Amino acid sequence: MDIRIQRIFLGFISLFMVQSVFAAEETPVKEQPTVEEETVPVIKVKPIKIEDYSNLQKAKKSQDTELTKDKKNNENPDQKTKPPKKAVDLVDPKILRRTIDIADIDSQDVEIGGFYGVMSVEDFGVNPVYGGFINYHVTEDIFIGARYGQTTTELTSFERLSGARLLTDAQRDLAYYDLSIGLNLLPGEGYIGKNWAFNSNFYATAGVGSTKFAGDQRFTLSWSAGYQIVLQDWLAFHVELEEHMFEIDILGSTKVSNNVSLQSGFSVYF
Amino acid sequence: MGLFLVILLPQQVKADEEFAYVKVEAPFLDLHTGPGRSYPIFYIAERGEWIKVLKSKTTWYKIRLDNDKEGWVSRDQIAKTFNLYGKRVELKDPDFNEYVNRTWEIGIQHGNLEGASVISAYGAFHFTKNISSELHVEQALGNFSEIRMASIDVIHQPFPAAKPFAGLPWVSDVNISPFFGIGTGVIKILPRATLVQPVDRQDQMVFVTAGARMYLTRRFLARLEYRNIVILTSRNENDKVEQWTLGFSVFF
Repeated sequence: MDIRIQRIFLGFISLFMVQSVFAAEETPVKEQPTVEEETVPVIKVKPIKIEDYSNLQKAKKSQDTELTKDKKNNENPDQKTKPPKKAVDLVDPKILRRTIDIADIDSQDVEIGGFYGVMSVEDFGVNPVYGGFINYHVTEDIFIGARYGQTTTELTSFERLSGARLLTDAQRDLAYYDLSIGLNLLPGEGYIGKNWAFNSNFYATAGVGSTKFAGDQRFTLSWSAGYQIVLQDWLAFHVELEEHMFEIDILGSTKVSNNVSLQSGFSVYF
Repeated sequence: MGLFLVILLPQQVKADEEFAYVKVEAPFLDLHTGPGRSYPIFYIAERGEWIKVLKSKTTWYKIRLDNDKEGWVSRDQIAKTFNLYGKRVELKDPDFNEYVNRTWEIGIQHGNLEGASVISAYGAFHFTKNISSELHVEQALGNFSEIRMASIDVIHQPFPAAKPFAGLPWVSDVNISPFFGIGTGVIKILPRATLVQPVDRQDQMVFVTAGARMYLTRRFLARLEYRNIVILTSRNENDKVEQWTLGFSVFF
């Protein structure tokens, strides 16, 4: 071989080698392995024996059926409201729809009711009385309320004996209203037989109001005490005794008239 | 009788019933038989249990457990539950803060108008924390006449959240807030039927008012008011009367 060709050949080879060495120094041999690459789990493939194969098929099948079951459950609208049994089911979005915020829960603090009973009006006999009331329950103990009632009255003994008439027929009608504050006392349970239990409580009210009787509006102090039985959360029954006190001046001199009514009725909570 | 039985029967659970789900976070939850602290505890819900909140009565909530047990739980205990989003249940219990920022207020008052007993009902609308307008309807019953009044006023409350006894023991949290204002209205005087020659009179009136409110609890406040009223009579002289009233109010 010609020496020149030999030298050129060697030169090329040496150049190539130098280049390759420099190139090796410049570029890293291998990129720094990332954490992911390092932590890729080594999957050990367990050889499946032939008898295991059927088991595997079974397992796969049961998994499939479970999946379809889940699908069916999701499609069933009745299942949507089912409460999550565990805390981990907390994020199931389907059950959010039917529920409401606790602040929007129906509150039953207003009580509206009616009553019927008898009222004794001093000097003017005992007659049926009826009316209605509304209470607002501020706490479990305190409520404020307004009440209206009306009754008619009879002739006084004096009128009966003398034949004189003190009042016209219109003046003989009595109507009253009062605004009161009430207190629930002695809460407890009452029982009927073995299976029924009802919440109950005594209450007392005190109020001021006006009574229209004998042609005038008369300032009236009133107080009452009663017993209430809660039949349902929204329904209650009560019996009460109420005193109405006002001044009257039609029988010669001014005197305080004490009038007691005994009444019972139902009320509904809203 | 049939109706009575129907009333006594347990209410059927409605399909479209609305309720809130909460999860018990306290170690346990007391279920009372009724909406009050004195009613006996008959069951306990444990931590992690989901409960349905059905309704409320004053500060008590009726709940239902998964096993269909129903009972009443206090507001304090409901406040220790978590909602579906895993957040603590927020209860907007009317408190002092809500009182200061109230919009509506209604109340009843009783007092004295120159010797006659006054019964008063009013409603107030609060434009701001400081400024409100009130509509009063009043009936005064004296020995010689019945007086009916209707009035409207504008009230300024300079220190709505004042706690004048701060720093003192026992009464440091007591809020008493003064107010003053001016108003106008009509007054009708109906003399007693037993008086000779009764003549009804209706006149306009103007008044200045001053008073104080005191926050009590929940939605409850007490209110004291003094009014100096000038009745613009058709006679040569105007009448001046004074009125004191004290009462209770609720706010919304």
